[in-house]
Amino acid sequence: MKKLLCSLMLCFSAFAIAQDTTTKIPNDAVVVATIKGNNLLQLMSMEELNNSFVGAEILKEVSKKENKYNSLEDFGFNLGASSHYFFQVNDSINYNTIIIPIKDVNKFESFLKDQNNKEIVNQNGVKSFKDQNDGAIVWNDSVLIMVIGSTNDFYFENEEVINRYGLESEDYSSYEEFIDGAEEVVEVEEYVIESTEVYEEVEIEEVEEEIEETVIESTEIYEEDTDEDEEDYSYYNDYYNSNYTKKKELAKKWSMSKAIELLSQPVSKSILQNKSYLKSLDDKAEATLWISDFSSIYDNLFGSMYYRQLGGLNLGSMYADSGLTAKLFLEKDKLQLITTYTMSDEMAESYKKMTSNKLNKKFLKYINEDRMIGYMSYSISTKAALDEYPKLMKNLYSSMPSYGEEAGLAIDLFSLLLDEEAVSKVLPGDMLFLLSGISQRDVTYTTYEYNDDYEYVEIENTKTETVPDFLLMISTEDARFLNKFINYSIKKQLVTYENGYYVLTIPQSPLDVFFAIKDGIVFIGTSELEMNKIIKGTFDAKVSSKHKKLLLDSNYSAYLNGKQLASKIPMEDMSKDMVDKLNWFLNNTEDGYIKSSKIKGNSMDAEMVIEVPSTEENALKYLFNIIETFSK
Amino acid sequence: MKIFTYLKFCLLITLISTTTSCFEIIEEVDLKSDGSGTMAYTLNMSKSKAKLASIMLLDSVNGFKVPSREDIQNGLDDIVLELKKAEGITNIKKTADYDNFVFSVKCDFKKIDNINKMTNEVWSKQKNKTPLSSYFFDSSKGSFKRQYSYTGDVKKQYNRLKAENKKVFDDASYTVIYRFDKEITSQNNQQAKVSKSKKAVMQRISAIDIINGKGDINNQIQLKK
Repeated sequence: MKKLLCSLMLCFSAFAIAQDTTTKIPNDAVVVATIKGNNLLQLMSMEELNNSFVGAEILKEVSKKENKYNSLEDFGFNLGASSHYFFQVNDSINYNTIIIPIKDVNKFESFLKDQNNKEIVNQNGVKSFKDQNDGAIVWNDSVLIMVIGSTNDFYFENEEVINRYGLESEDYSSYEEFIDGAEEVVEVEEYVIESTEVYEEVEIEEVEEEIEETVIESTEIYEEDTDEDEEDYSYYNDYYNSNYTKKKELAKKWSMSKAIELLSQPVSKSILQNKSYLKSLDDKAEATLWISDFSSIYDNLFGSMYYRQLGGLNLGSMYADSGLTAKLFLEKDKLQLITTYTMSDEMAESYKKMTSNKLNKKFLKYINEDRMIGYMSYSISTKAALDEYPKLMKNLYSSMPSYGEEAGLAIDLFSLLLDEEAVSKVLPGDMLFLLSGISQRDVTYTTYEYNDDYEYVEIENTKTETVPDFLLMISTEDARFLNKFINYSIKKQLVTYENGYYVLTIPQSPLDVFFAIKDGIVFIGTSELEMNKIIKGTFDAKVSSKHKKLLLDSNYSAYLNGKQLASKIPMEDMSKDMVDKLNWFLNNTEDGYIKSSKIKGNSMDAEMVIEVPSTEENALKYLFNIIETFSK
Repeated sequence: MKIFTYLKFCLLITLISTTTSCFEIIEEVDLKSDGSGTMAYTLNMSKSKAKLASIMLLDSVNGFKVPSREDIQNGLDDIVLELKKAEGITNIKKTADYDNFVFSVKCDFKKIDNINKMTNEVWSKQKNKTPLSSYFFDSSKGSFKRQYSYTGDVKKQYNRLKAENKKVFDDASYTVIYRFDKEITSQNNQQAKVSKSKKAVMQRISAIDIINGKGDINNQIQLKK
């Protein structure tokens, strides 16, 4: 019964989604990004979009003297439906594809003709340009598909493949130089022809034959294309011998086949059969991103490259069963991006241990929200990291063909020599960086004083600079090593000690850095006043429960108070234009934060939120206003 | 360690956006009655030293690649090399103070025309159409002339800059000083001043005036015979 219900649900969702273009996304796509036009248009009407700065700029850009566009709808696209980007990998070629739904094909085609006067051909309802550029573009009455393919070099080094496509066997290093620039290619070819005059005719004939074979082999279905391409080939005749050109031609052909295949793809072959993808969907999100499996992407995409350049690192195993989903929500009061990273059992186990440490609660005693501009906190377990990292590294290096064993030994030796416990006592692994304010400092500069003969002497003047104040807090359970290090620095006169704290003077910088160790915390900061308060125990702390929660519940958090930042930047040093923008920013910003949650099961969530000021209707309009203000 | 790199970056960006930037250029010509003399160019950016020190820790800022200390050194060396090749120019000295960001190049010339020739050559090599200036001295008449033609190219280039980059020129200034071993009887630039000793002329113009063509450094100076 449950199964039946699930199947029904699946059918229903497939039907519901079949109304848009998701069915065109193939089952083997490894990355899918979607923008939902319908949700966006609920936040901003077509009219508002056309009248917005971005909309107006686009319309201005495409409008010509004779053809004026008044609405983005005039391009013929269905802006109320979802558009997708997806990525497919395989051994020979990787495809980047964009799918945009079409509402009015006549409008769309007249828009195309208006923009680039290319001839359109129609083969059984599949339309494309007669002359294609590198990417393949096809469309029918309801959807546009654009495919850009890039071939994998490693695949084309296989002897059988080289013979099949009439490529020249060559070693990779010279190939890289070869493709660096077309000019270089021409030079090399000229040289080859000159120096092998006797064989010139034979060689070129052979290559021509091979290419013709290739064409027949790879485009069985589209024979008509072959004729056009022969014309192209004559154009590229000079570059015939270059593998680069041949591979590019193959990529073009394969991309075209792929685009046509996608256009008529049945639902049964679509990504709607993929449970992981279906799970990542969210009706309320304005945009989504889904990455299926990092290991297969790495294996296919970088496998050959890493094998060669990094001596065979086992990245596939490190990212086994790991995927990511991201959802963007544009709401009335906030812009929210939620990402979920899923990993293998083994990695999750390691991560759990490494992120088991909590942020030191005592840090909260040194935060004053009224003065603070922002912060960033970070907490990992140093001991677990030192225990787990070598294991991960060992796994990563184990498949290295030549030094795998040696790397393993070196990692074991590292673990053996290192006292993880002792290191974690010195630095348990949590820290908080506070941008605690902005203050004025006197700085000196060189200027000149002139005598009666206008001869001058250099003099030193002082002026006031505005500098940021920060306070960095790092937990320590055993300060003995740090104290030794400080004592050494005092002996070497790099550091001075006064009133209970240390001073490090940085040459050329208006900042002096003060530091102290107290209550198991290393304090490093730029404000002498604050350092004084910390040492005397008179720090006037003020933290709301919102920040307490954000700091203590996350392994990583970052927060920025837009209003506070804008109000503290000195306007007198800004140009008028910047002052206007800053004023806008000052009146139109709220808080923003990022946090990452503890690992749950095999997945870890991270959230980014930018709050929308009450003067703005919703997050989308807010984004458009930001773009407008800062583009003008 | 990534986090510390990020922290450093945050801190530097805040420093760069809050600290001020401006500079001054001083051009000095010490001319003897026989037509020989000394020329010096000084670029003083010490008012911006906090900003510059921060900027130099970054790779690029506002879309421009940040020159390294080595790049600056190479640039100065190139100038010295160019001067060494020039006819009639001797005793070339350069100074570079990276703590205060003050750089200068100084040289002796046999006659002021040696300087004109050198600058013309450098200018034409760089296909530079920015304002050209020349000096003339007639030792028999005791007349000195500074000729400068504003072309508007500078303004075009300036206008292409982003607002935040334009800001660098807001407080920047250009100072020209001519010193002679004889007293000055007249000079015809209203923006320039004659010294109490009457043996020197100084003119300070804001960089913005030079860019807009408002700052005129043309001058005709007559010395006592």
